[in-house]
Amino acid sequence: MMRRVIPILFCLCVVVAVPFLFRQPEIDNNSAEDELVIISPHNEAIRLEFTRAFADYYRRSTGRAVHLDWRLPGGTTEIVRYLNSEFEAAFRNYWTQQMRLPWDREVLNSFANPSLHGDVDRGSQGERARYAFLNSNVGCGIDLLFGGGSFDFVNLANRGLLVDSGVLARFPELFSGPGDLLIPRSLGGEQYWDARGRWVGVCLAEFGICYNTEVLARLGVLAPPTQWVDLANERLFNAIALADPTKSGSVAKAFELMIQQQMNLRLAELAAREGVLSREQQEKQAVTQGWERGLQLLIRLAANSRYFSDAAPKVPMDVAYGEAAAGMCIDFYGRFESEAVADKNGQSRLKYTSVVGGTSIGADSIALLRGAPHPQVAKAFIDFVLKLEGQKLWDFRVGTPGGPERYGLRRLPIRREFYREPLRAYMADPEADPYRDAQAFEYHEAWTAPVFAAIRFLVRVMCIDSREELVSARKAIGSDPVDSPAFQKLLDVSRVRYDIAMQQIRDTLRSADRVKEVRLAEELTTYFRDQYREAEKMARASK
Amino acid sequence: MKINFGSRELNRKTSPSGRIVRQLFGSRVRGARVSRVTLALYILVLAFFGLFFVLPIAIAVRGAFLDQTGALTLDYIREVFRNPVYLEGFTNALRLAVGSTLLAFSIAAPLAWISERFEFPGKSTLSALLLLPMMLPPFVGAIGFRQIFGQEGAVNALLRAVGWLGQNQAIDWLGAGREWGIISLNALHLYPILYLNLVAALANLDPVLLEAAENLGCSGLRRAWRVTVPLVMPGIFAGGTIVFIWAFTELGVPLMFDYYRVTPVQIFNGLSDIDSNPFTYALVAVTLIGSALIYFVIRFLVGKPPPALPGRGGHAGQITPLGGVRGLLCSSFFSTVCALALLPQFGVILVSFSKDWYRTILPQSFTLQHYVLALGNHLTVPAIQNSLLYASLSTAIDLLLGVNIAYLITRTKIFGRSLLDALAMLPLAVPGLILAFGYLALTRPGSFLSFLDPARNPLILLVLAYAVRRIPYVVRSAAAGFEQASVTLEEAAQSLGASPFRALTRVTLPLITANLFSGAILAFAFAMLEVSDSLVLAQKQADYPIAKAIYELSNILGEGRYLAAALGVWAMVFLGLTIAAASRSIGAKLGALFRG
Repeated sequence: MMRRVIPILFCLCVVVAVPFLFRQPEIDNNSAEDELVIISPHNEAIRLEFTRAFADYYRRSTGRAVHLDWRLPGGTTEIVRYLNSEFEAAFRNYWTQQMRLPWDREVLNSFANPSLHGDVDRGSQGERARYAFLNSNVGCGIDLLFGGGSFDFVNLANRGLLVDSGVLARFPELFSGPGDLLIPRSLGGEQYWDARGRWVGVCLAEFGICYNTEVLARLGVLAPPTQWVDLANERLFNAIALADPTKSGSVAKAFELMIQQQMNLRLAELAAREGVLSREQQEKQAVTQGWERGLQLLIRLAANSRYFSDAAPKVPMDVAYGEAAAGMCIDFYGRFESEAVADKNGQSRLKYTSVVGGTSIGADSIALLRGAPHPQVAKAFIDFVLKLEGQKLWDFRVGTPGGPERYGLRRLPIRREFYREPLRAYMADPEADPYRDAQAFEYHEAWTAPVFAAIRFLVRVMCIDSREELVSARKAIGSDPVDSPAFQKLLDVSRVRYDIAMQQIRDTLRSADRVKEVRLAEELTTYFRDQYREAEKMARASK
Repeated sequence: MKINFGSRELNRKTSPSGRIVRQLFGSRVRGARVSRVTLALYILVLAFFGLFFVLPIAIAVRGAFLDQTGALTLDYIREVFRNPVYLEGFTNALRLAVGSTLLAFSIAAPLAWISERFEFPGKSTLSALLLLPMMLPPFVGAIGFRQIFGQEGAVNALLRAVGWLGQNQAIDWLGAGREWGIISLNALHLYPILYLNLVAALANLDPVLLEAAENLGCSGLRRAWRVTVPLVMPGIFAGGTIVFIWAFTELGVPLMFDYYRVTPVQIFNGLSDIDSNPFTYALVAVTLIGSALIYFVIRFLVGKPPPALPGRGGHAGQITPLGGVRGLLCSSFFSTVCALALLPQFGVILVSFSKDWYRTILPQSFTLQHYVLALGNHLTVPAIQNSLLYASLSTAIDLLLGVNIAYLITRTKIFGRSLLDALAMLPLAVPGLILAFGYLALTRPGSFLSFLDPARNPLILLVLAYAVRRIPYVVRSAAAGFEQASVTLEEAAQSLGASPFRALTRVTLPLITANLFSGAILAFAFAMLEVSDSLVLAQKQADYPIAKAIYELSNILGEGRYLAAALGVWAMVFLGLTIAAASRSIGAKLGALFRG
């Protein structure tokens, strides 16, 4: 028996040995003296470049080797959920085991409640829990949160999960003073850093549209999409790739901006009219009507959708390979994939375009977590990412001095000197100037930020959980005009008006009682599924 | 130290522990022929299952019945049944499982019948090739599947090339039939399990019974329905339930097809807020109870062996040699199934060598660069090391426990051995995701097992998870070996002065080495490419096994799919060689492993 098996076992040994022969030695840092634990939504390319560059930087500056331990539970939204649940478990353990106090619903609802200040250790059990949390070193074994939009960072900071890393004091030229390196606190309504130093932006990003020119031609779409509404084109039925906003904070942000654009457009319409409305009245009307128009646009996009993917990078990949004609994606995903599928002459079937007036430019951030087990190394990493050494990695071409070695990351650094000579010459996107472009869109935080979580929730119940019925109805409606009864039925969003979102939905989502959220989700999902079925019936009856 | 398996020792001992044991088991131990060592083994095995199988599942289920303050509630379970999305996820999972099982059966049944009845050109090679799809992870195959059936993929390019499609036309194979894609991929991956069981069941069929039926006027389809099918029903059940449960709890394939309204994906999505979202627990509970109910109901209805079958009485089934056109037809049928089943793998291989494959039947240019990058990637070598370590350790545990369990089942009369037999098979009915989920809940901060937190080091949990889920294969193969090796040999050794332990290790175990080897190699192969446990329990990059490394690589923009394909091909070659080694060492006994 063995004589027959030995040749196969030999082959097996060869197969196992091959990866060891190809192994790249420079990233082998498991036996380092220092460690840093980072939770991140960043992709493998970013992780690889920053791991290598920071290890070099750290060795040069401290003489010690460092090991980066990346934790990757998913997109930003999943990371936020993960951190919330880990901190809840850690604080519950601290409260019941170390403080030996009983755990109840009030403590659960209060310890990370931003509306409680927790300045003093007295008052109700909830106030004491908040005080105990904010004055504790309770942590989840992770040092840094690296990546994700400012909305999630603001929320986590307000809950008390993030702490001041002292970065503002270490970089006065970037965060205070009159110099031309100053990073604005906010631009176009987007926040770029926290006044208390609990988080800072490190690179900039916007949302846009990626599309496959060949597939568009096949579907008879002659003009490439430039605005969100172009993705609602009937010819693009079942050809739009969308990512799930409940999984990715950046995708959720794009949906929010889509709604904001409709509000801005409505405001411009109202302002152009000669009438009796005051500025405040115009704004109020624009927000409520723009909200409805925005949700209707979301429904139309979802009706054209091929899927809502759990992984945002899948969108440009699928568009590049013709599985979808177009999709919403973050700028660097689009640019990166476009370059990856370009031919020898640099011509690419995948294009990326910004949505003029339909997107703001937000900051992708970094923050020190409460109870970080390795705070000094974590601060060194934050400093590295903000210094020129770290910033060059974002958009320098591969192989340029100080640039990435393996992957061009195609992300726009937050430091302003990269948009001027001499650094601009090394950029992979030398034409980019986010500080200029950011002025084209004014983000009004007060309009949609309070309902950011509600937007995610509504996309889930109106578009994702009801997608099959929605798509089926859209197919039945076909080329009927938007003002046809069936189409109007499809687009009816009166059940989730702005005032309802601001109160009922928002309050439910804020509640710690998840049964309420699930019941509301079930109620609204059923409502919209029935509505879409009705629209389909009407469309079929009219033909 | 003298190890004594003799049962008289237990009866004579009057030590306090012996009294307690007798009080606990004395009246229940059949014939009181159970030694202390046997009891210790029994307790050890039960403790292992209790701690690492029953407890984590119980904890996962418990979360569904307690609210956030710890009070008992049925709200979460009720909400699962009230919520149409969860309900639809459950019915979709059921539908996919039923569809996958039926399709797998319709592929496997004719193959098994032909294989059992006829000899045709290339039979041995084609029969070996038929087993390959089972050994390759379907989520890797999905990369190739999408490349072939995508709108700008190979099939549409072929149809354009032959003029059946216009240059501006595309058939949306995947978008139009996502469920069919999942069912097909599941069936093409899992049909070998049913095939092996059916071949084994048909081989054990006594031809005398068929002849008797024919003599009494029952022939043709009627004989097949009234005699053959009932007789092979246990084989159908054994393979069918494994396929059914596997498809019911499959996570990787639906994820690849962007099919999210299905329970395993809904559970996977709920993992990131496991502490604050009780509905994930409720989904787990409903899925687990559903799985177990389905398993036991089908077993009760179908799986009972036919009553008091006579032995084969020396009659062998007749194998008819087929030549000419009929032989070629059989060969073609086998080849077609092999080609279809291995289509995703062909796709993955071509993707791994292609520079860009878009709108053409085959890649336009080829490269080896993806292999250099994938195999040299910093994730790869640690992942291979991790997988080898996890799989080796778990296989060692499986062997140790599997032999013990098989010994207790076949060589002792200990009370509850049937229960132990069932318990050892139950991991087949429990989704890997749910077990991993239970481990995660079991090791939360504050728990007595929090030191096993997978975020710190998942080694122990992954090894245990792999071991628990693969133990049925080793138990079945070891039990088959024990049953085939006559106990009289052991008794002869003992009558010549060998202790029972020595008789076991020097006489019986060497006789069943092939069985143990075959069970171990299957346990090892499946553990090497385990998906569901790995996706959940391996949270740190340094701890990733190979399956999670492939998943990570596939998410890199640009070259990700090529790197994932290259690493997938490496995994295929590795597993193929492993299976080849197993096949060569045990030959046709592979089928015995899958009998329930």
